[in-house]
Amino acid sequence: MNSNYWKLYGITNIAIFCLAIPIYLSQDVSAQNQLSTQGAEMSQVKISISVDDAHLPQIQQVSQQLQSSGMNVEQTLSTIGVISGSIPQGKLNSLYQIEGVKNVELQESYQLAPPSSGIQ
Amino acid sequence: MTNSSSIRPIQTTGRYLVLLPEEDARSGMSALTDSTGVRDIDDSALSNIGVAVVTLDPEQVQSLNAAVAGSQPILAAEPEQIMYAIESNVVSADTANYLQGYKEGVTNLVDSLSNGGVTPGQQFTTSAFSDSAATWGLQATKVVGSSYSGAGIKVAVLDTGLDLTHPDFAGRTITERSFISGEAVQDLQGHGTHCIGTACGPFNPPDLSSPMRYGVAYNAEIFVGKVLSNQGSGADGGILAGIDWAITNGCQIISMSLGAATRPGTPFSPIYEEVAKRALERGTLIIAAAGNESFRPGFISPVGRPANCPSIMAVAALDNLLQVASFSNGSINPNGGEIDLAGPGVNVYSTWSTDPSTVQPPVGLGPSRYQTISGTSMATPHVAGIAALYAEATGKRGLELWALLMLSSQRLALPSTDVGIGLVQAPV
Repeated sequence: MNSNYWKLYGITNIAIFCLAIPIYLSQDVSAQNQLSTQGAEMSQVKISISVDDAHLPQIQQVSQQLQSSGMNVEQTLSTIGVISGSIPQGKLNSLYQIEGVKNVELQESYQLAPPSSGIQ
Repeated sequence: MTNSSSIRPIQTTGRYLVLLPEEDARSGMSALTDSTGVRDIDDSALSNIGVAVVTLDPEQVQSLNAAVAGSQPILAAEPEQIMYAIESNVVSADTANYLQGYKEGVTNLVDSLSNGGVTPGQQFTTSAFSDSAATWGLQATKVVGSSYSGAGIKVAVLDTGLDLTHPDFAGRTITERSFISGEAVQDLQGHGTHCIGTACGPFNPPDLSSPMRYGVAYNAEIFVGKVLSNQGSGADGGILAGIDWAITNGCQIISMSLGAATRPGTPFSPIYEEVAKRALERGTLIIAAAGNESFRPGFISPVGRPANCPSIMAVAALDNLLQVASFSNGSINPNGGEIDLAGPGVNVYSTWSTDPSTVQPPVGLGPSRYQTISGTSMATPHVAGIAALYAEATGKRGLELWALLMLSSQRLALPSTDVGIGLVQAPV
């Protein structure tokens, strides 16, 4: 191990240390952001939306508007007039302002009893 | 028994009511005058309901009866009766005595029939139904004697899919679609295959070692919508997409043996209600399981979601003694949360998934050709299959089909909060 090796080792360590500080700090800052919003805007909830009768013929437009409002649209069901997908929880209230939106519901989940339980 | 004012013998006026064909009252009238020579005809009820009222002498009555029996366009004739308004809250002493005597007579008869009396809720059946050439459920609902098969009717079952390799469905018209991302329609759980077997299973099951009939609408077109995964789970997104698909494809009936528990006070989903109303307008009847969260007699859970919607038919489960199943939910919540009718739901034999990858014990039952299980899940496809029979028999759809199912059900001596209007019955 000659002195050049140690110089390189030292410089490398200092470089890593210098890079680490900003990364550590930025992580800390993001954590602060998360804490301040309580995580509400970050969590996606699955929703269903019914479109009123008057807007059924323009359901695709309603769907577009929902997407512009931050909804991740998964299904646009034109026969029954329902649009489903997910959206950050904090944006839920804004959906009622969109023309054509009649009802907004959180999606329910369903679970069959295990077949071995006997009662289905 | 005295001739009190409340108990009257049949009294006639001397005139006759004559029923003429709705579509051709005119030729009916000509036939009436030609065959009887009658002159005095009261035709005030003729134009809307096709009934003429006539005065006839005995000879003319003979001619009229001959005309009814023959090929004349006269449908029926009967003596005109005197009708009285029913007097409520007016019970004369004579009537009270009569009713008391009647009650004692009935009590004596009941005691002699059943060695000590019948407790409220028991049926006057002498024996329970049991599986034989057909399952007990097909016997109790009179599917066995029905001349209908669901031909020309599309029945959608939204569930865990179907075992498309099952030999009992060979040759059937099947349309299938999965709404579970990452999973094919092939049922690896069993529940969907069991429900489809009940709703649409074959008239003559091909397994000669086990030939018992278990399916209702054996000629219906089967639409399999996989909205529950092979682990039996799903969400509204997939279920609503399945409903949309079924209606778009012209299915007259949608059967959903699925639900989520509710509590007293839980309202129905406005979105499912909107969807169900739109479905009815399009001629699609949605039938769903009431749910199995109850532990009777101590605990009765309200009808689950989405069966609790006013526009979705909620089905309860009965056993082979036509008693309510211990797990069957009840009409606890109003506004749609009522049981509409009941179907066979205890120890129901039907097809299961034969796929080698079918979920194994302890969670599943592993692959098999048939299984016998219980649930409002099993009662629901009985109603769905029978709805298909009525749809074929009458051409009725949507709300009219709902009405037919209710009208024809077998009334039971059980609370409507448990069984709705009664046990579903197939058309003759």
